[in-house]
Amino acid sequence: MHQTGTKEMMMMKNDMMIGHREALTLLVTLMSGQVFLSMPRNMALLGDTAGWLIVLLSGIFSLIGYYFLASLLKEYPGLDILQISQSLCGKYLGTLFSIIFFLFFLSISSLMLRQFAESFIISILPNTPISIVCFFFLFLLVYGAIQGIETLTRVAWFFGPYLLLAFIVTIGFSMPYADLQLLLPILGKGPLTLLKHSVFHISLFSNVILLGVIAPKIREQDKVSRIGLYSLILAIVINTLVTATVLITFNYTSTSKLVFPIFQLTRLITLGEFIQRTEAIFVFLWFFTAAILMGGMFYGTVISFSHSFGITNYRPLVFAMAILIFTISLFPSSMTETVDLDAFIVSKYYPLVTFGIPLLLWIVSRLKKKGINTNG
Amino acid sequence: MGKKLFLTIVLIVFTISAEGCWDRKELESMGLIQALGLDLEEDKQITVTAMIAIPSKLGATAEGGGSSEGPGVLLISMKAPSIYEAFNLMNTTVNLEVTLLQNQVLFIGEDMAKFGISRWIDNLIRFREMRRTLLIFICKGKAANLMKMQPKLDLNPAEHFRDLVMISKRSGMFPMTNLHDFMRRYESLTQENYAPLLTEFKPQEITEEPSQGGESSGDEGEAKKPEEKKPVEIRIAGTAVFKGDRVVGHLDLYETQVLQIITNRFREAFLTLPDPLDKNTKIAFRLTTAKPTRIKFTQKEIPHFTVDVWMEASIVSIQNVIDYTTPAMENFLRQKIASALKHRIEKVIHKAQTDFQADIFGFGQKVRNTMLTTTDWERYRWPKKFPKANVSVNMHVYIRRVGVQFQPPKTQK
Repeated sequence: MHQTGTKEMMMMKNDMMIGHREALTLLVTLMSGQVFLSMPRNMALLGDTAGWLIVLLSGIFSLIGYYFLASLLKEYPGLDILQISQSLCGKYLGTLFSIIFFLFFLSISSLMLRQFAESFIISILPNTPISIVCFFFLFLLVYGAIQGIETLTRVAWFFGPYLLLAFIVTIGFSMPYADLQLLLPILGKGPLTLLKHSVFHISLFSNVILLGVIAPKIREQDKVSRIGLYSLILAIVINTLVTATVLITFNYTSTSKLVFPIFQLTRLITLGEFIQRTEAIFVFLWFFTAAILMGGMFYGTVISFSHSFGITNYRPLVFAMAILIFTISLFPSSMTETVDLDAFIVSKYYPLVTFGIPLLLWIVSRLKKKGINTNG
Repeated sequence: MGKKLFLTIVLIVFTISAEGCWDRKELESMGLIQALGLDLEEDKQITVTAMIAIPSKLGATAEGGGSSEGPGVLLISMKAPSIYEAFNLMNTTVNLEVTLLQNQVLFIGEDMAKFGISRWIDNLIRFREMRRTLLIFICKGKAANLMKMQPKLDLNPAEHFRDLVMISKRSGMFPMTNLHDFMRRYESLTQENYAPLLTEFKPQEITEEPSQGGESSGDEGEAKKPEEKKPVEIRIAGTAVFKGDRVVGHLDLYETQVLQIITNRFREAFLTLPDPLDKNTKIAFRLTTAKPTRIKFTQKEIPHFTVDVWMEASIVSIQNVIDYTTPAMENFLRQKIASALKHRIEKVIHKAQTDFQADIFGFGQKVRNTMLTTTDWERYRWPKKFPKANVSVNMHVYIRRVGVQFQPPKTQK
């Protein structure tokens, strides 16, 4: 009897294991899904013609920040970032870090839910109540979270190539409107402004922290740090390319005024009389990107909450969390307030969580190691 | 069992919710605007004219056409404080929901274009039904009047305009401008705006090029008849030039070709020049772009630009009997073509600098390219410097082909 139970437990555990490709696709989608929202516009607003450079530089800074997360995960294989923080900093401080992670995921999930819902209302469903759009998203999030991370990553892996193809097609077909001269003056608002915004906007890639949560579930543990690195590089390339494409198509003044630049870009695509109104196709892919992105962040929310309060089975929390996210998503009174909150107010603190906490833990880990070596 | 029940519930919920979609619209209930016209009234309100498709007529066979069974579109005008309020007003008489989902063309009346379009430009880009692929035309006179046109070769007037603009690739005589192009220029300091200029077409007056005087010749016999309500015929007369948000002048068809050449939109056109050895006869060429036009900016006290244009000319007609199909004569001829084209280009640039003071060619972009930051560019104040800029033109013309015959035909006397 006991043996059968253990076998079942093992099987369950195996079921929850994810492949490195699936994890990589999930992370890339998490970090590049935001290009469908106002991200390219925000970059044009911050850097004028050099908006794309801000994305590139923040990506490079994120790679530096990621180093600390990667070395922690390498040092403590089989543990996630929440468990690492508890083992390094003790129960109370560890719980505090878990709560901070929970608030981070909660904030991103809520603001993303609102922005994606608004984007669908503005672009294709102008008469549908926001609660209905949110309901469909929440349904997917809840279902995804109940099914577990394996399902989420498999869905990401399934749609990943199509999403990538959509990006390539969008960029390719918008080329007739492109003018590379629109990326000049190369330094946009100036080198100092560029550097400042690049540092403050490494939050663009802060979703990489989900790797810290799902790391123990990755089958090939030796590939964990490479998954993060490659996903970051891919996301940097996608986000930079998309921002640059928008800039060379609309010019920086127009881009900085567009609510959803990618949507406008797809609306421009025409190939003679035959291929027109292609946004109808892109909306599907847009929806799946949104679902995968929010699914991942929602999973992070539920897991970090259950860790914070020592709840072993996170599934009963899923419905409550969905309602919490929905409620918070409706706090901002308008779309503008949501974008402002996400891009310029709350996101300021994201790097402190995603890169700051791993850095802190890495320092503690070094100090502890040093202490052991000295004592030993 | 549980899974099956869950699946059943999900299917029922999704089926019901899909059925009651808030954004469901039946095609038959929509009044699809094909073209939209905007005219400014004296009280600064606008008259919006909508060309709404009548699908049954547009889909009719060619034999019915637009003329015998009436037009395939319904024209309706409403005066309103904004474009979209005019739609509400239109729906007090049109029993279909007026929508811009299929709108392809926008006509802006002369009064509005001259007054300045800044108040209405936001109307065009903010509303989700408006697409940036929308073609823009500036009308000489009221847009509402020109929209009364009925194309003879196409049932759908909006399609007619779309096709007409595409033809520009074959002549370079008018610029194709969609809302995207228009907005891109509107919001940049590097290039002033322009759009094709539409005017009423009176065939009997236009057949001869400089038609001055003799306007009513030949129509006297019919003068007493009450004026028949003929559909308006229209043509593109060149390019309306903007400075800021208002039209300040226009380029004719040939001047527009120069604009197209400098902005790299020119593909091909026929060109007729006086024979350099006998001014009474003419030589015709088919002119094609050999290489994209290059504009080089040199920073001096007064900004200096060098415009290099590369063209290929193929001889299509020699009225004289002079044989230009020898290498030496070809060389002579190409220099003459280059000189004539250079003169044309310089004249148009001068016109833009003195008459309009508007950089429609995008020289500003070349200046901006030399800057390191956008702050430097904004401080430079290019629009004020453009009228004084020095522009030199280098014309490179190559005669590659002479048609399917060498020497011109000669009578044996």
